[in-house]
Amino acid sequence: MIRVFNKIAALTVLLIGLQASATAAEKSSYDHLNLFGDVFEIVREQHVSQTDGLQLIYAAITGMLAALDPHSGFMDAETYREMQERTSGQFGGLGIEVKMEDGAGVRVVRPMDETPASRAGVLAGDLITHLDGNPINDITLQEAVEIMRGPINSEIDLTISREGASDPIIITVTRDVIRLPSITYRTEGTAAYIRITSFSEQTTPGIRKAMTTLKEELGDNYQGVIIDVRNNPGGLLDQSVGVVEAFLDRGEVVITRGRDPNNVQRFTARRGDLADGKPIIVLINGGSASASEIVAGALQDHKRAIILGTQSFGKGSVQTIMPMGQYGAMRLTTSRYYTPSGRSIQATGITPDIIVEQATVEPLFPIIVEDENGEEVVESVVQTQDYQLQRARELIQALSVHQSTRINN
Amino acid sequence: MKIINLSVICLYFILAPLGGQSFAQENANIYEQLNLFGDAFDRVRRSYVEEVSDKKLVTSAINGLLADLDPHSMFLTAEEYENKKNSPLSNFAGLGLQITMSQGVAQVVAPLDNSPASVAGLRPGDLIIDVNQTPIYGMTLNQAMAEIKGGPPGSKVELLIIREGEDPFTAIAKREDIETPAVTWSIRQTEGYIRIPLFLDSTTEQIKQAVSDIKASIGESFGGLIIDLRNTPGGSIQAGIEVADLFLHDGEIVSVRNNNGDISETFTTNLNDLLDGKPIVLLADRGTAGAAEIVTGAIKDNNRGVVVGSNTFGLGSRQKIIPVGDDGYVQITVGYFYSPSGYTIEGLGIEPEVNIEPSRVIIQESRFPRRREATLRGALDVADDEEQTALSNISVENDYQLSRAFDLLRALSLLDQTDN
Repeated sequence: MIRVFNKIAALTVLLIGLQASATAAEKSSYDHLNLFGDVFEIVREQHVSQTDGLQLIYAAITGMLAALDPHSGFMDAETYREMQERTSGQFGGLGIEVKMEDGAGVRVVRPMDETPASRAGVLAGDLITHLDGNPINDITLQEAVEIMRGPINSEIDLTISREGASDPIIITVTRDVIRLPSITYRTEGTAAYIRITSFSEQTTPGIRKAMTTLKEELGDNYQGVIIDVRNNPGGLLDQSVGVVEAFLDRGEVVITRGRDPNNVQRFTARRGDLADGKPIIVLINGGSASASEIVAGALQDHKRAIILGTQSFGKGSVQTIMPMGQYGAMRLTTSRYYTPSGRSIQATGITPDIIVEQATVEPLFPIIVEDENGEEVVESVVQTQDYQLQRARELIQALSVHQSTRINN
Repeated sequence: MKIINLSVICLYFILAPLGGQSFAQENANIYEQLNLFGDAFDRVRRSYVEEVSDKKLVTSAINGLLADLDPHSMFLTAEEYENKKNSPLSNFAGLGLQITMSQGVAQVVAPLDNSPASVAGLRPGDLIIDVNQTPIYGMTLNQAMAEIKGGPPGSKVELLIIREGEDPFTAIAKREDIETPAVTWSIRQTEGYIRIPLFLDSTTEQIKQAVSDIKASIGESFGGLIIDLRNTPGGSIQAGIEVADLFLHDGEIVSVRNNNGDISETFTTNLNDLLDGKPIVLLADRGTAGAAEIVTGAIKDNNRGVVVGSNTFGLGSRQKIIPVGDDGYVQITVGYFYSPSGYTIEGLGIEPEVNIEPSRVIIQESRFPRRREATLRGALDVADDEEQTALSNISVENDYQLSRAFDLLRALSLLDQTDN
C-alpha cells in the first residue's frame, strides 16, 4: 500500500510541475524527479538503519547544493538561526568578552560599553565561577557562552570571584540586545583608522559614528582615512554598498548579474562623503573577500581611494538566503558581481594600486636614544609590527602635503 | 509551489480514509518531505547563477541522500554497474588498494599483496586526507576511489596519510595495471599453508586445487593447514561463503539481519570438509575485511580452527542492488553480517583466539658456544635411517605471526595424532 501511495505522491509533485509549461524539458524534469522519489522510497523501506525521512531530504538538498559551488548549501533551522544572529550582529546577552580559565570558570576580559554587564557593575578581570548557581568549571567556553545568551529581559545570576574581595559576589544581570561591533576605530597619526572585521547590519551605522568621533578627535590635524578590510571574509552585500556610499559622492558601487540577462541590479551611491574629500587608503590582503572586495573595487574604480596591501581573495559571487519555513534555509549562489568599470572579481580578486607585503621592519644601524635618566640606550629593535599600516599612514601624510601644495599654488 | 501544496493536501484527504491513522500520518509526512525536496529543486533550477541540468541536480541529490546513510550505499550508472559486475578488480585499479570511508575521509582497508599501495607502505586503518593535494573530505566513497584510480599506469599518486601515533606524512605510489591476485600455497614439513589474497569467483576452485597439491606433496603425514587471510580486503561475499563451506562439515556460516533486527538471510554448509577435520590455524589481522571476516567468523564460531593474529577490520554490511529509472541502479545497505554465534562484524571485527601482534624476535646470543654431543671427540655418528628430510619451501623467519601459527598448528597436529 505504502509503495503505491508514495508513487502517487511523487507523481503529483511532478504533474503539477508540468502544468507550468508542458515542454520537452519539463518532461525530463518529470523523469528525474520520479527517479528521486523511487530512490527515497527504496531507502525508507530497505535501508538497514531506521531512517528519518526529513533527514534524508536534508541530505539530498545538501548534496544537490554542495555539488553546485563551494558557497551554496543548506542550513537546518538551528544553523539558519545562528547565521541570522551573526549577520544581524545582535542577540540577547550580557555584553562581556570572556576567556576560559581552565578548571575555574570564565574570566571577563572586558565588559562592552553600555551593555547590561557594564551597567550591573561587572569589571574586567572578574572570574565568573557559577551561572545561576551552577558551577561552570567543567564546561567549555562555547557552552558557557550559550548559557549566558538568552531571551531579552531574562535574568541571570553571575557568581563572581573578584580580586580584593574575600567573598564571592553575586550580580544579577538582565539580558538585553547586544550589538556586536563589526568595526573598531582609532586615530593613526593624522588619519582616521577604521577596521571592518565583517559586514553585518551594524557596519554602516558604525562607520558613521566612527567618522564623526575621529574627525572631532583629530580636529585640524585630520588628513585622511584608512579603511582596513584585511582578513575580512565579507558579509552582507548591502552593507558593503553602505560603506562605499559613505565615502563616494556619486556613482555606481557594484553591479550584480544573475543567469537571466534581464536580471541586472545596479547599486549607486547617494550624495555625501564622510571623509570630506580627504585621501582614503583601503588596506587589503589575501583574506579580504566578497563584500571587502566590493568596497576596494568600487573605491578603486572611482579613484576615490588608493588600495594598498596584497592581492585579495577573489570571491565574486552573491548568495541569496532562501528561507524554507520551519525547515531552515538554502543559501544559493544567484549572481556574480562586477565593479563599476565592469571587472569581475571572481577568482582574480583586486590588485592593490600599491603592493606592500606584510613585514616587520628593523633598522640597519642601532638608533641611540636617551632614556628617562638621560642615559644613551639602543632603541627597541623592531620599529613596526604592521608595515602595511605604517605605509598607509605615511602615504596619508604625503598626500596631504601634496594636496596642500596644489592648493597653495 | 503553492499549487502543489494544495493538491497534495487534496489527494491526502481523498486517500486518507483508506488507511489507518498512523498510516495516513506517515504518508502526510512523506508528501511533505518529497514536497520540500521538490521546492528546493525548483528554486535551484530557476535561480541558480548558471544553468544546471535537471539530471545533475537530481543525481547529486541522490548521491547526497545515499552518502549520508553509509559509505556503501550509492547510486550507480548503468556503466558503473556493468563495470562492477564484469570486472571485480575495478575497485583496485591503479594502486591495488581497498578503501572505505571513516570520519569523512578515506580509510585504507588493506593493500593487495605486492601492489603499488603495499610497496608504498600503506597499512590497514591509515586515513587518506589528500590525493594529489585534492582534499578527500566531503567526497563519497566512489568519488574518493575515482580520485585514487584517476590516472594511467605509470602516473604518480601523492597521498597525505594520517596514521595513529605518527605525524601526517606523504606516501608516493605509482599506478600500475593490477593483476588478478591468485591463491598460492606452500608447505613446511607436514603442514600446509594457503594464502588467499582476495575473494574472487575463481577462488574456491583454486583452493580445492591448492589443497589437493599440498596433500600430494606431503603425503600421508599431512598434519593440517594454515589459512592466511591477513591483508585480505574482502572481495566477493559469495566466494567467501563458498570457501568457508570447503572447511566446514556442517553448521552455519553467516547470517544477515535487516533493519528490524530480524534474520533475513542465513547461509549454511552444503559440502563436506575438504580436510576431514585436520587442524586449521587461520591468520587474521586488521587488514582482514568483508568476505575474509565471514570466513574467519565461521571457522572460529564453529570451533573448526584457531584464529591467530589481531582483531579484524570490521567491514560486514550486506548490499543489494536495485534498478531504478531507465538506466540507473541503487546500491543500498540492507543488513549486517553476523557470525554464527551472533556477533556483528560491522564496526567490531572478529577477535582472534590467540592474539599475536606483528613482532620481531631478537635471539639472545650466549657469550660462549655451548658444547653439544656432536662436538665431543669420538661421538657416535647419526644413524643413516634416522636422518630427517626436512621438506619446507616457506620461510617464516621475518614473519612472527606466521611462525607462531606454524608452531601452533604443529602442536595441534601432534595432539590430533595422539587422539587417533
